[in-house]
Amino acid sequence: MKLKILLIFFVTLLNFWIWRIFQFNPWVGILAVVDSFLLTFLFLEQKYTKKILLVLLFLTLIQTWLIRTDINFKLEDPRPEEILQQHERKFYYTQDLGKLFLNKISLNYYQNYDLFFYKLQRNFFYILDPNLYFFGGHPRERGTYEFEKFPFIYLPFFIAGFLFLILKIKKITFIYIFISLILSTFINPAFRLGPVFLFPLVTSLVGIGFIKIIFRK
Amino acid sequence: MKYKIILFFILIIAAFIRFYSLDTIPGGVYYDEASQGYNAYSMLKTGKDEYGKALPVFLRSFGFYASPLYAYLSTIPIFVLGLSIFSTRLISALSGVLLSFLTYQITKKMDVKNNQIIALIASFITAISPWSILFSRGAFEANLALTVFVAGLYFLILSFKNKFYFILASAVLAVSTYAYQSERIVALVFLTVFLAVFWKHYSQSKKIILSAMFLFFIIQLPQFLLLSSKGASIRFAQLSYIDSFTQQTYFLTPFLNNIFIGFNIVQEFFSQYLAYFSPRNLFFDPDTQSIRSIPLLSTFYPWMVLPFFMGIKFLVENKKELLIKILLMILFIAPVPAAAVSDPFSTLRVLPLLWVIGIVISFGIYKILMFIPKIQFKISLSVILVILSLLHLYISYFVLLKHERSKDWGYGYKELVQKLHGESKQIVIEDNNGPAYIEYAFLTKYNPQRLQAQADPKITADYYNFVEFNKDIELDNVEFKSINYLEIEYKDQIVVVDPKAFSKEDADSHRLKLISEIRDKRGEVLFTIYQTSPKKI
Repeated sequence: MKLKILLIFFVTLLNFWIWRIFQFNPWVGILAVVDSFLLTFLFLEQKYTKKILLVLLFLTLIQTWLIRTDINFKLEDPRPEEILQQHERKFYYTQDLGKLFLNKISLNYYQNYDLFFYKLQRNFFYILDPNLYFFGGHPRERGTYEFEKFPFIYLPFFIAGFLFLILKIKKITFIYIFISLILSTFINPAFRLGPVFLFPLVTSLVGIGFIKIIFRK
Repeated sequence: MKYKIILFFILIIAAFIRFYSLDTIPGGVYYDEASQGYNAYSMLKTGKDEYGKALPVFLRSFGFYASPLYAYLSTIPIFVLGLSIFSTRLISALSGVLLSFLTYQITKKMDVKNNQIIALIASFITAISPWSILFSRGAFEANLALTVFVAGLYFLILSFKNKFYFILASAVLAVSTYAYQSERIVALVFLTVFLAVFWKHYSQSKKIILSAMFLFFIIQLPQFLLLSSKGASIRFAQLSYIDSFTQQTYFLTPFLNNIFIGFNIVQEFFSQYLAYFSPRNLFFDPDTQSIRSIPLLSTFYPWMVLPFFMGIKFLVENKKELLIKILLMILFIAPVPAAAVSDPFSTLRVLPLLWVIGIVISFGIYKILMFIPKIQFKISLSVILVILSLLHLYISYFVLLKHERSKDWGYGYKELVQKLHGESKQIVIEDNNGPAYIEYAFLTKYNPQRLQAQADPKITADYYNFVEFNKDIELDNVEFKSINYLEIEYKDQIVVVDPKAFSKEDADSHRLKLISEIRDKRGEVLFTIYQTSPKKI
């Protein structure tokens, strides 16, 4: 058990991301480390799961408050080129879709929600990109918005941890993952810490991967 | 019987989506499509390609070398229907429908509960997947290659019961390497890994295995003999990122420098490899190349991300199942050639991977449906998702792609050819945006013998090694070249220019008279046709 704790400790601290978080705000960093330990415990152990989940959710709430200025539930305002494209597309839809588009519900959705849901999806899928965590960023975006989070040699362990999670996921852990995914979706994409709410999840999956591969269980 | 009826309806849907307005959406004909179609036409009429080469092993196409199988097979629809956009795309569209059928046949061989239902879901997912529809509705040789590869896979699975099928499987897999470049690596590596994994099963039938390997080798021989030619490797050499690392100096000590370069190459390879499994690429971001993507739609529908994760669970739970083992092999092997080049997430190069991911999603959908207790809820959820997916597809492909990508797909050339038809004056067409001559040759069904007569003798002499490409060409009274605007007004001729490079003010200063403009579906001017006025000088 001591060895396992030591392993998680190393994974949590031996990465570039956590030091960047500490540099930004030590309190956010401390919470990220504590969350990582608690989440690993939640994944691996059967005891006190509800209590751990409550503590995790409470700590996430504090973290949300600490970085509240970088969370935007309205997502960013549309850029001029996006508005222009929306106008152009409105013309195509009117031409080709007829009444399917030219009705109150469709027009209302298109004017007020279409861009919002597009951006919501974009943010959601961007945080699901493993390249973001192990290679600084997506290969398409080499040189822009990149910062190293985890060394890429952690990747096989992450995959092992991910497979463990997929096979053994408990409903209760799903609640935490869901909330951290949703919160990360609303973080400003240009935020210098990246999707910080997912730090505990990635760290604990790498840690679990280490445990599963090294201890073969 | 009921499964066969459902399969029949799935195939009808697959065919409808692939054949509906096939000749007009995407609008125009893309350069590569025109090349495939015209070369097929040329081979049909003369037995040789546009450069006068009989039975090419790699088909020379603007200085690159495409795989020739698509052009060979296209001679059949072109013979029956004549050279047209429809007949050029037909083989690809048929491949897409056949793929749905093969997907059913393969997945139903799985030894799991409700295998028929899973097979039907997999067939349907293949039928409606955006990647399959996009590549089936264009003359993409990679789409044909995938179907041939999957046919080979089907025979491999059959060979577990009757070993003689292994010979057929090897032959079909060998043929797939003539259909697309990626298959040259994927088919070879896959067959080798397959034999290594299932050697125990086949070790008693050494004669059959040897015959199959011999056949594989014989079919591959023409390609093997050309392995050292520039034609075989030019594409990889142009796209590889290895040079960008080896040209850098990180340390003064060569040993350390080489280690660091090696590390960087390995890191980049895994980064590219991983990108092919990223949910961001699979479910949200379209391919970066406009010709390989649909606006607002990636390779799969966004909702499929959840079944994708559930499908991985199914894969791991049933990892001992024969089909799952085979799918896992393809899953790991298919992205390797694509990950070795710098083009991130090139969908066209990983179609076998996308096909497998479609099946993984089907497993996930099956698992989710099994969670839902009542049949009414299962049906309702399925109907809602199908309607939403088809609506998404219609809006993205049949509305947005038609309008926003018409220029990329070569829209305007048909209209240009119609405008210039019967013109006896000298015509100059500016070809800054691509090899326009092939569009013209394709759309006018230009006599292949006359085009062959224009081929550079160096190409004829060293077809597979002479990679230089000169797109300036003259077909009767039509010249294709970059226009020298200083000389433009001294000849009595019609000039077709790119309005972005030559404005109306430029035309006025050169005393050119506007004859016509050709616009794309958005109203953007694609070509401006002018008449020169040399007598006024």
